[in-house]
Amino acid sequence: MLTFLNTPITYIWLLLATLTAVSWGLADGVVQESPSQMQWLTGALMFLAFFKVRLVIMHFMEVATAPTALRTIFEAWVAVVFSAIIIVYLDCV
Amino acid sequence: MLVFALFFLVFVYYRGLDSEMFTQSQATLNLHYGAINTLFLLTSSWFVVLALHAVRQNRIYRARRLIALAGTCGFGFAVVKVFEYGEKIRSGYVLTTNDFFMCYYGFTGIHFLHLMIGMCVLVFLWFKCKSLIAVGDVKPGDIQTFESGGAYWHLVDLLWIVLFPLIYLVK
Repeated sequence: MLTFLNTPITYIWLLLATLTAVSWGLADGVVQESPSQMQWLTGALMFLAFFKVRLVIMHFMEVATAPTALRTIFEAWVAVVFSAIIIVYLDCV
Repeated sequence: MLVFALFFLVFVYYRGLDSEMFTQSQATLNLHYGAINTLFLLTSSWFVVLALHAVRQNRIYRARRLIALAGTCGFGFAVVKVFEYGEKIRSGYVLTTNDFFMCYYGFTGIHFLHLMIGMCVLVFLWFKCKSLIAVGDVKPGDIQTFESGGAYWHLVDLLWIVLFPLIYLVK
């Protein structure tokens, strides 16, 4: 009856939910770490976030099967925004 | 997406100007609300993709149920957000408290507005399913309607995926 759930999209959703739980656990477990550890944690959290964004774009929005030009624009958005956030963050700390 | 990219950078820039105040203000937020809302939106997006697959297979009753489930998750997000806003306002943290809360209310508020528009899109798709059931046939244009509505809903989802760690988690 629920065989329609047995699709790659369901596994993508499970991966997205798991990565959310990992980010949640990482941030919740932090008490008072050194500045460098905080920077690594921030980098890891943002990497996980943009990895999830890419999964949503490629698989949920079906950009993985879209024309190359559209896919390139989205891939560039993910790469540029992630890099810019990390650069501004590191420049300001 | 370009505008939200600027929002993300503005937040990180202002955070760097007074990271101590941002960290103290961030500590007043309940990250569990943000995480639960992320799960709500991811799940609603999953339902929307399954609904699109169902429409392509001419299984409109299934698509309608899946759209309803997606809308329920979206409603869950809205309830948690309104509760969270209420809790913060009662505690005295408002838009003008400091730069952190200006960004918090501004960015999550604009995202919330997009979510409300997305909810209207889901309601439209639900009624579209109803009309397709009456007609009994799915045309390519109908599938495009679901693809467009779904893409908008995923956009709401992916913007929150970045806003959540940026506002609630980044140290």
